[in-house]
Amino acid sequence: MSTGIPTAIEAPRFRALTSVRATGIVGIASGIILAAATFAAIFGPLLAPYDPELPNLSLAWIGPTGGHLLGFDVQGRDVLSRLLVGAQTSMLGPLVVVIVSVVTGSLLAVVAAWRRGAADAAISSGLDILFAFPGILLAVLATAVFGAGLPAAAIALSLAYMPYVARVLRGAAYRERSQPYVAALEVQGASATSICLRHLIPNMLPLIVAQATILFGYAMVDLAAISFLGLGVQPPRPDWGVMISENQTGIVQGYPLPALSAGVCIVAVVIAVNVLGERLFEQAEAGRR
Amino acid sequence: MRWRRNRWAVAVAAAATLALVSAACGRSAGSPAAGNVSATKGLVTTTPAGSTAVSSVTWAVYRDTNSLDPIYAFDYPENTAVTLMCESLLRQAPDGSLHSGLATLSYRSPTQLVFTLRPGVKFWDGHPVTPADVVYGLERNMNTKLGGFYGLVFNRVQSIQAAGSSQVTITLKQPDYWLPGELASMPGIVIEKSFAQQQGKNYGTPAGDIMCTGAYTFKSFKPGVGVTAVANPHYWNSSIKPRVKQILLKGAPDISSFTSAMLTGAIQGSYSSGGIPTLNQLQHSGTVRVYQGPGWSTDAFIVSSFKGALGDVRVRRALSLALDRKGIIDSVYKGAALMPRWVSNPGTFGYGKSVFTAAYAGSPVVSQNVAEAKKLVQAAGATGKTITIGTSSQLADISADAGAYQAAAQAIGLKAVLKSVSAQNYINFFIDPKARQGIDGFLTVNYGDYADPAAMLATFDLPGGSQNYDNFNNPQIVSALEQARSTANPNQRAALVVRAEKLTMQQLPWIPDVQPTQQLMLSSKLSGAVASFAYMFAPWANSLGGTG
Amino acid sequence: MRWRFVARRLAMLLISLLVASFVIFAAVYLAPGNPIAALSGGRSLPPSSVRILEQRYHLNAPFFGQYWYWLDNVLHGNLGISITLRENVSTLIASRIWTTAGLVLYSALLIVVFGIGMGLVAGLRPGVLDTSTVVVTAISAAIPAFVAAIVLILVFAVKLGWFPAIGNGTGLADNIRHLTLPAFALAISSLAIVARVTRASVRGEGEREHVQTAVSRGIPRRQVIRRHVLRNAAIPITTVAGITIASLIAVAAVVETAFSLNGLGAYLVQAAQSKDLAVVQGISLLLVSAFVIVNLIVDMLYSVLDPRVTLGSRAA
Repeated sequence: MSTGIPTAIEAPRFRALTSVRATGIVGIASGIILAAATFAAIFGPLLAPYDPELPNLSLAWIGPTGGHLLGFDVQGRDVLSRLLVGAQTSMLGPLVVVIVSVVTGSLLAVVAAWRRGAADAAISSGLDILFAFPGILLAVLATAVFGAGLPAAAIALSLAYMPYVARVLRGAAYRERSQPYVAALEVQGASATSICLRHLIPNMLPLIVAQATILFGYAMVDLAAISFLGLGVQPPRPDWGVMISENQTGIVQGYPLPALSAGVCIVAVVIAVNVLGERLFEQAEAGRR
Repeated sequence: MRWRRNRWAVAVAAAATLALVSAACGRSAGSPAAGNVSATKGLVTTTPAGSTAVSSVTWAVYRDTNSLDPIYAFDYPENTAVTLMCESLLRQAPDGSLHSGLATLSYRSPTQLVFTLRPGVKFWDGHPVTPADVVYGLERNMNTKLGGFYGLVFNRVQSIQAAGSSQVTITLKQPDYWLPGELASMPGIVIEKSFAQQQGKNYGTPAGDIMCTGAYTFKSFKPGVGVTAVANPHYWNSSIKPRVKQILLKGAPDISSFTSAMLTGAIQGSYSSGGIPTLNQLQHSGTVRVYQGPGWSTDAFIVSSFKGALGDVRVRRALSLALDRKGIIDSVYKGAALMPRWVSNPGTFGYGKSVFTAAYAGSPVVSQNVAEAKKLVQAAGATGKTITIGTSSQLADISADAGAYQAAAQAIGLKAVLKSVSAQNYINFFIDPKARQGIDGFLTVNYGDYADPAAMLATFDLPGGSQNYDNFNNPQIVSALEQARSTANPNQRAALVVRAEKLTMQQLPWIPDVQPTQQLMLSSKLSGAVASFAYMFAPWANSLGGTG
Repeated sequence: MRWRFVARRLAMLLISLLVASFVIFAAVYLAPGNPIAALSGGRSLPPSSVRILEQRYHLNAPFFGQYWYWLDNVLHGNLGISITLRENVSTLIASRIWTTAGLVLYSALLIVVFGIGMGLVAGLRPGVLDTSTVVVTAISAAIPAFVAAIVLILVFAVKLGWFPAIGNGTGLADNIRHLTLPAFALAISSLAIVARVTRASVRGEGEREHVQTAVSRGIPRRQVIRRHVLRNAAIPITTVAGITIASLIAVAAVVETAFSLNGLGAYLVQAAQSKDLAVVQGISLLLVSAFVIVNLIVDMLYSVLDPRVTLGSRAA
């Protein structure tokens, strides 16, 4: 899913993602999932009933018993505890990627729309070139050069996502720019920076937030994939992508629960985020009209 | 209407997920992870010879082979590839005893070994094996510019000379009763001099070719694909007719892929080079037969730096006492490993058996005692110190061992940090000082070049040993080993080696974890592969064929 | 008119490739330590090997001179030598490229056939099929390729034994069988997105005024669908299909690793872990080029289908 974000037809496509209305049971479920994941991301280490990193080989692969709701993993560690603590990197990593790429992307979009002409062409061409690098590829390259780990992968992904954000927001920035109130403010003597920061961007905020939400899902999948490949978060640190990779061997042995639970966590959060993002997009579109 | 259908559809999806997840319950707490594998009963060293022809066999090794040059072969994939196609001066039988290989050995005196080439031995290109070829191969090992692994093995050799049309004489500075064993292993592999000289640097690399004498001829060496060998119809020993037309040696580091492939028949055979956590699946499958043979290897923790917390012998002893070995045997080896008494595996008692067995039985089993271990750490003033363990998250057994050490370290008040590298790079810990920078030790499943406990001990107990990474030098151990090397009488030699083992267990430059048996995993349609660790040093597929 | 558009896009392609190659080349200098440390992946090298590296990469030449030498080599098919295997990178790539190409093509076929197929069925026939398609695709769009991989292995390889779990197999038919589960794993999330867009576009077109008019005039429904609905819906469908297929090139690495396939993606990951920079550069260059070219083809296709674009206005 790394570069599934299309260039030409963003809005209709995102809207098409769920026509299951984000009201009713689906909306509520999404909200609960996201709240739980966020809560775990912040309080995970406090909530975890057992040490997520202490191996105990004699307990390897034991199924759900006693206080261990999801059983034990490949090295005899409590799966639930690892999921809770793993939520930190699994949620924070994508958050960082989203913040960096959205902030830089928005700024570039606004500058391009404001300055128009040569600056716009230059920025657009530069972004066109960045489009050449799919997120995962750039992350692999970065980890080969800087060493495996979350920071290198996260920065690489932010760079790869930035052009998509900028592309989507550029259109919206142009539309805002051409609104009458902007001309009015200019006449009154307001500086470009203040207009951009105080009016343009706040008015684009619904779209920015919607875009950021959808992007979170992509970032989560990509970062989990990179950790799964062994280039992101390093074992034995818990992380949902790492857990799938570590416990994949259990599937063949007849113990799929550890790997599957981590997979379910990822999928659930991504669905929830997509549902939420859809709704935000709709609101952004409605607000515009 | 639509809303109700949505709800129904979502409910079905949720139920499906729940079903999938709950069907995935793990093993129950009481059930042993070990299964029904005994590490002491039913061990075999060979399998019945295959009787029918087979067109192709894919054989797995734990990673891609990186060289076919015997002087650079010191790990499972390279050894397995070389022994498939090449032969050495002397040969180790599956039970560990030494026999003639391409040559027979006779002693003119304790310091003069005469190797007489067997009549009719020839290379694949039809050229006969000459003394010049033998001398060339031996001297290659000693050439420091080439950087071969086995140089130290020849450090008692004064001269090597060709004599006549079929003899080579090795003159020693001192008696050396380890040398015959080594010459039944990689250092003794015979290659063709003119061919190797022509190949130059490319010999044994994917860019080059090799020239040996074995029952299987080299066909291709493609990184990522593997090493391919084909049956040799003109093998010099006409009583052996290889039955497999083509054998492909392929790297399979991922244990679940390897297991799936064996279960579906995509891979038809493999030797275990470490723990096989999926052994139960393989044993219960109709497509695979698992044979267990005596092990020659030891799963151990190599202390690569005595400058950190592990420099104090009390800390090393404490770590050893705190280790949960039973967990490793159950989880990593599924029961197919022994609790250690010495660093060397009792399967390596290839001579002086009565002496070794008696002494071994008299030595205590290393068992877990966390309380005592904690006291040792406190006495050494090492509480709170950090040790860094080299590992690879891609190698399931190494990774599990590292986890066990992590748990042990934490239990006694030390902090453990893991440094993980890729499966392909794990070998660098053994050969590259830069790779060992910053770590205190790393895991290994290690072995000696022939069936003698001293073979492995020498590599890390002797100064300058190929696996002695931080100048470990205990004069008593060194003296016992050097004396053993000069002792002709096998029982006396054994007694000296026993002393070295006991002293090594006190000093723990390596901490033994468990002693695995050798697993041979073979397709049920095949038979005839050697079932003991001797596959690492002598041809293993000469009797391989179909079960008809 | 159209030629100017094509020429501009080609120019952009070349510039993208050039800049991408420069970034990939410069990676060696971005690495901590000196270029030799990066090229050796932090291994100790004997002085003779260091000299060889210096010569091969012209490390004593000025920066852009080095880039020029490197680019010149690349254009002549010389991608350097792997430091772990001491083999030509181009040879190493050649032996793996068909696995990746096969996987991507197989996946692309699945996406086109099932993705568009499901979307058409759902879009043209409202009802149970439609609703279930919506739900299924909403869920599967969120399933990352590696999660799909482990579920497929669990269900189809381990429990049912219908497909092999790893490896490439031998011979064409066996190769296809071995690539089936990986191709599905790779296709699942993209398939869902294509299905959604197809459904939405077809629906959207179906509700347009000129279509309603045609229907009310009595023109056979089949003809209306073919001439009006599909023709116009083809634009967004082709675009999204093309883009998701391009993205397969990168995600293939994850699927190849999960199924232990001997492809470029898996090898790229291994090389990154082993710090074999020459291999990483070579494969990255190849994959980036493929990605850029596929995107270009999608753009061209878009322009062919939507005449408005060729007249110079930008799509976005």
